[in-house]
Amino acid sequence: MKRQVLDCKISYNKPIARGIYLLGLKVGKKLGLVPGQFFMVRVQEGNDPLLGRPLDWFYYDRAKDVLEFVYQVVGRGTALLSQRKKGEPVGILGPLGRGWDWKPGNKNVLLVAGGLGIPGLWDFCMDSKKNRSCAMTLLWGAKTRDLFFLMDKIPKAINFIPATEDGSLGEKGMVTDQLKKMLRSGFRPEYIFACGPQLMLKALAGIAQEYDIPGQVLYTERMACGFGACLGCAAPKAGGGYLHVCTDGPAFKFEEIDWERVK
Amino acid sequence: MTDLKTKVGSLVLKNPVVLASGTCGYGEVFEDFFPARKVGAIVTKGVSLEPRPGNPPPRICETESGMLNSIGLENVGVEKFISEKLPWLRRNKVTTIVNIFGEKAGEYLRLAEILDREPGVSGLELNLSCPNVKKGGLEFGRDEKAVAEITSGVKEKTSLAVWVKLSASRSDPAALALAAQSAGADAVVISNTLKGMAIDLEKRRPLLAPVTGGLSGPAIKPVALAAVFEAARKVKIPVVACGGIFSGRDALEFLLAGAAAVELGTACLVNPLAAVEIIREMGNYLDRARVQSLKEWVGKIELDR
Repeated sequence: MKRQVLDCKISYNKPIARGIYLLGLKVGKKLGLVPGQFFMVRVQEGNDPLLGRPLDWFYYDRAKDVLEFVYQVVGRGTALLSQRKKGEPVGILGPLGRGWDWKPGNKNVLLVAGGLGIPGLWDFCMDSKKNRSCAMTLLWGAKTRDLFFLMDKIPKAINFIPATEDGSLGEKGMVTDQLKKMLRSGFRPEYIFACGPQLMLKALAGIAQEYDIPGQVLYTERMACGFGACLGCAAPKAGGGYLHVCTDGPAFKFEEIDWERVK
Repeated sequence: MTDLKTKVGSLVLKNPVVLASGTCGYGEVFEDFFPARKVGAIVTKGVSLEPRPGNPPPRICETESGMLNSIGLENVGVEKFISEKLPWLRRNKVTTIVNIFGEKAGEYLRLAEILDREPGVSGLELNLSCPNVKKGGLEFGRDEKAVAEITSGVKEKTSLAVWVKLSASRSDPAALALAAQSAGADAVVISNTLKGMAIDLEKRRPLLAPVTGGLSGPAIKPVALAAVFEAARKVKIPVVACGGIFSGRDALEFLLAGAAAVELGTACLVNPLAAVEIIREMGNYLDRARVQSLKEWVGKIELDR
């Protein structure tokens, strides 16, 4: 669908984990969304904070007209957003970018989420057409157990494997370490969808190359506009130059990015 | 309805709202949001002789009521601009000013020569004020002599309108504007972004990979306003204002201070509808103030106390 400026109203804005909030917005019109697309969400009206926050849409209930986002309070902007109340207006811009390219023929899919990467993958988890048509494994890692949320919503059909850096939930270590262990013991996904910090994606791209598993990542970079005007969100392009996360991505195939230059 | 028509040198713009270079691509980026012909003019992303990949990321960071960028003049190069970007602008009947940039003075001249022949180009904007590149840009915009040399050199190569984009970061931007005027510029644009920096305290490193960047947004509006006001009182050629214009009221302040037109940059990044909203706000305000045309408004600042 066309990218639009949408004046929404807050339905709810509530903590769901330590420092992590679920924001539900009444949009007032029907949206056509692709998983992996994102919106620029304005924290409040006025010029400070100035820029929208790029957030992956988390869950969309078309019948109830509620579009959900999950965000973590990491600075002043997200702290202000967490104080916004039900009924207050929030301006969003979107849907933006090129979302995931889901191949219906996938038989054995691995989803890898690093921390707040999970929103970009949530629709795959919730979509029974997808999670019943193939074996789906979700590897979700975070620093500690307090940073997980809505785990009870994850359908039984999905093989869910949590991992924490401190071992407080699931396997101890990074998701990429966990994946290496699984691959060594014979696990062979056909395709990977991954969302998380750049360095996690870089490590994952290396593993995927070693085991020759194709896949896509939702890449993140600081951006100002979200629609291709500022050219701020540069991602190193395989073969030289840069891609732009907001228009060329955020979903990229592993081989589109020059991971050597991702630091 | 107030007539919003304005003249910038030989160019007549249907309204004084111009999209600033580097914030509107080559015009097409706003296609989903409003018809490009609604604005007075578009100034393209800076075009150089050869394509440039731009700076490594992070290129963007937010600051108080503003933002820093260091894109590094990423662009497709003049050849691809003409073959792939200009046809869209022509088709959409947009008054198009091509922002040009070079690392050496001769590159500006060569670009002027090439673009002079292209239908659909109404003018050139010389970028003599970008703070984000090692060579060219601000280097040329620092002193009157360099500004005059490049401007007169370009004027010899083209009959297109030539706007010279200067920085408000000098203590006397009016002196640079005078230099551009005496070299034959059709207008000066004040200002570009102002050099700035932000540091991540925890990581103890600059937030931008290229270390410093250009500050834009409401944070720089008072600086730009003072520079525009002072330049407009000294030069006879039109002054186009740029810097932190986020509302119709902001735009009208700059016109009152003497600007013939305004360029919107960061405002359009934050809200892609900013240009059309600002044009509407200006019209409504001037209607209410019973101003018939912009001639009654531009430069009519009241200085008596």
